[in-house]
Amino acid sequence: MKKTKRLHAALTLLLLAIVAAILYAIEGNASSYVLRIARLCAINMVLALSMNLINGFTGLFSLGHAGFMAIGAYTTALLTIPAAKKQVLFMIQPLVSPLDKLTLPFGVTLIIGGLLAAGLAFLIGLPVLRLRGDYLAIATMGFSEIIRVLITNMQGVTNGAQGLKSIPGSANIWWCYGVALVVILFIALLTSSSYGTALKAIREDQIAAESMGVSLYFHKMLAFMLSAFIAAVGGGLLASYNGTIGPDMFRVAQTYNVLMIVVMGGMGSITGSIAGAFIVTIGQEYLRVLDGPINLGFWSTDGISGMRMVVFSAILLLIIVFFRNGLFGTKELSWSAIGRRLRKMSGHGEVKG
Amino acid sequence: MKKILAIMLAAMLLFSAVAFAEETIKIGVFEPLTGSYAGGGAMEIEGFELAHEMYPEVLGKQIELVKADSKSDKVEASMAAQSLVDAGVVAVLGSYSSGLTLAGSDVFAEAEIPALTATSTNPTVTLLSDWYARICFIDPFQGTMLARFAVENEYKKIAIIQEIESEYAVGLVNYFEQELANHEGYEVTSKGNFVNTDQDFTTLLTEALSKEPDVIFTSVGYAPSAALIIKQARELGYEGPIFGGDTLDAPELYQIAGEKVDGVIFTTFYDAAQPATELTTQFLEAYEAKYGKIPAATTVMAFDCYLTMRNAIETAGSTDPEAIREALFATSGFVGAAGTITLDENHDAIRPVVFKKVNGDGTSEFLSLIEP
Amino acid sequence: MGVFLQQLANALCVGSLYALLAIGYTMVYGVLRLINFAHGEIFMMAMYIVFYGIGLFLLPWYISFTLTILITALLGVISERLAYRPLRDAPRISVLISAIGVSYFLQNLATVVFGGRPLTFPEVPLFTDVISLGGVKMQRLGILVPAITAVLLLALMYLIKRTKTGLAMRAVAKNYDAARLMGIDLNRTIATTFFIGSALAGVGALMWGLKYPQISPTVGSMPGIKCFIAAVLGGIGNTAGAVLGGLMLGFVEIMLVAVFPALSGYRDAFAFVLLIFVLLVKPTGLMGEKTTEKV
Repeated sequence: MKKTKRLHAALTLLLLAIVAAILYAIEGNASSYVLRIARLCAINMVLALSMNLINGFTGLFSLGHAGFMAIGAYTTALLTIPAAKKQVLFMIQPLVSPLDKLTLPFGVTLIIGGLLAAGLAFLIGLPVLRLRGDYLAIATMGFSEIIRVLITNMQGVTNGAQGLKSIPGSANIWWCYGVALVVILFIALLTSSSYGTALKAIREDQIAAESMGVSLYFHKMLAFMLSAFIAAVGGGLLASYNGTIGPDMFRVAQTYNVLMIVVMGGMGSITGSIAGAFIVTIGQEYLRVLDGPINLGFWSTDGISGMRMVVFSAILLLIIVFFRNGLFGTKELSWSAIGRRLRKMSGHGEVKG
Repeated sequence: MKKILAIMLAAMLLFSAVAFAEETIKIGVFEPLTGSYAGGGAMEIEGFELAHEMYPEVLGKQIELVKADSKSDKVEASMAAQSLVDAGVVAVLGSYSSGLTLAGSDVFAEAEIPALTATSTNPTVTLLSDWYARICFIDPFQGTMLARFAVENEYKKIAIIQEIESEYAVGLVNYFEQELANHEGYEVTSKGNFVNTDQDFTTLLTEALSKEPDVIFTSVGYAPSAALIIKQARELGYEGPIFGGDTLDAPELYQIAGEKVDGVIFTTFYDAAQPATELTTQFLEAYEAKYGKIPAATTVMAFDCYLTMRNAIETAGSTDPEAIREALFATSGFVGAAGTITLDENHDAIRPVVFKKVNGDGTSEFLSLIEP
Repeated sequence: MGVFLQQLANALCVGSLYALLAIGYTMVYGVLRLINFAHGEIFMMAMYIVFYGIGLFLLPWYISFTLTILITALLGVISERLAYRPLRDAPRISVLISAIGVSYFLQNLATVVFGGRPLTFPEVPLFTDVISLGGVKMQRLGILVPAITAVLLLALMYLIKRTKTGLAMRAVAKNYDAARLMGIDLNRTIATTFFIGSALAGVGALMWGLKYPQISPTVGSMPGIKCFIAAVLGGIGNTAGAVLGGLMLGFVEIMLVAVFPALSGYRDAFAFVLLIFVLLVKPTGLMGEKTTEKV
């Protein structure tokens, strides 16, 4: 048993080394387009994992993600844009002091954004987490919209509709994948700890969990705040990745985009969210060919804009309807699972747990 | 059987890819083709494509337009911009909506590819990037002119209705108010905010009309909202003048508001009834032949945008982006269909603003032209 | 005073439109416990159907309207058959996600099929002519919509309370399995619910289009969200509650702008604040029944 554990640890390290090598190779050789897609994959991974924590592992249907992302994105943007650029940007109303002069390192702003979002999640969670099922979904969605409307109207802090531009692109491939790795490890540790067990118990049956002595409120709040924290970190990465942000980026549609990744990968599966982030991000870009001119010899078109989104949403819908648990369900792709599969395939040895 | 079919399909796709691999000069078209600004994107595409049909070559080679859809979304926009860079374009045209233009601008600057927008009027577009230029005027100028227009006509009490989520609309109102503050006796009696998805303006209008304004100033990101505002204002019995910025100059305004648009005044880039140049007539005929309708000002601007870029490539004598940029920024006295284009030191065009009035039958008449 | 009356009339117009749409929303929820996020998109499709009916095939408006309501209702039934029925035994979250998927798909489909540029809803003078009542100006719709809403509400209440179909619906709403055991055709009852719910979305779309004659692929999202808020306010699942919620939302939104014009930019946020407040004070809405989760 100990031996397999050590083997698995070694395999994990090996995998990490391979990933790092691939990233290094990409950074040096691939086009900036591929690099951009790769970065977006990692950011989507972070966002999907944060949503999975609350929706998948804890079973609370929260649709407030876009709001928390906005908090992170605006924090990072406001704290990293150089003071000189801020003066150009805030044309209508100057930025309030001390934000107009203050700039902080990128990593610090991610954490500040996360903390702000977690604090806000605490305030929102106090009343809202009493609600159940659909009602919780509606209320969290409502808060997310309220945050967006506030951002639109707070001209002196957020620059309102003008949005923020020239955000330094600190979120290079190492930052994106570094943060993603930390988040993956954190959620993996959390879900295998006693906290994680409690969260899953809440997902399976609230009342049973409560009667077994799980403090519902505490654990729900914990998951909600952590999820908000990670979502804001993802939002911060997104702001730096994109260079431009505006309130219109954080509509409910943004929450749905992340939700689709989680659903595709499987609610309650870390490896599912990772795979989902890659498939959805790369898939959407790959399908771009559908928008362009297509010539199949017998049939040709000059390009129908929007075609890729039709195909993409049709595929999503098929997955939702026919593979309702997503690619992975609540299962994880782990070394022992691979080992079992390999043993089975090679035909010898009975399957052991 | 299925496998054979799959292989055949794959082969065809491959074949079609090979068929396109001629020696061409690629110019990127960076536009919202879907989403809430799709109409704006479509108007510009018409202009680019018509210009491309009429002048398909530069430096003895075919020009190939490579389109990328930004889905009217800022994250998608930067990705679309990057996909253009990856496709190997030497220059970029677009985009409609300053917000989307700005989302692509960092990408183009990083890749060092010159870009030219036809209608993004927000001043930051060229202030924040050394690779973006535009052939339209900027909002501070347009806002100032609108305010002076109000003063000239002695519209002393002004009701403003602005789209709070549109950077263009909010910016325009801001410059308008700045200029208005220089004139005594003029005041903004009410200022109502709405968002892109709002369709009911009766409350805002009732509130605005209760102050008995001399005029209503609608600042919108996109014409259909203005059409609904105009329609509902008339239905509430308001008979006074209504005016707005260049986004009102789109066929949707008349299509949606119908005869109620009668008397609405807006700024725009050019006027078809006052052919600015020889090219104007050529353009109008070609457009009429291809689409069978009157072009929006945005379309004419896009037409000029393509020609200006083509001219810059020709002047540069090569497809080196740095050389194209130099030639582009030095554009001076270039004759387009919507007037003469000269870029200033901020790579903004110095061009007059045209005031137009719409009639109840959808036709429009020229009011005045103000040089900067 | 004149201004106040005008604002009141505006509020009634908007509120009754919300109410009309909220009935359809609430009906589907009442029977299936499903928040049909695709309701707004069904609504959007209805507007395009009218456009092509009158604009392209030159049908008279009454034929076009009737056809539209029927086609929209069928569209709702088809979406149920394809996207919700296969998930009948799945957790509720799966169905909810499927609804989001359908809405996403329909929006994208409309963009490709009908194009992204906004189209214009045909004008029908019978509804859109402006009338003046003691200084208060509004379209005839301002009176017709509340009337139509009231008639539909009564018809629906009769259907639910007095007919066999209604009985079946109520039984299905209480408990799927028990209803099935009692010999109720589950699929048929649910299909009927979707038929009626979507037909109501169709009626709502007609009225909405007449008042706000702009059609685009995203035109359904705002009414979708507003009516959904209205439905929740009134107690989702309760038809009379939906009407109450719709009117209330209309009035509160408009009075907010009328009394505090400076806050007009916060209008949408305010709708949600109201919603959250009601949810916290009375989690099942103003007229919703109390439910307790079974162990």
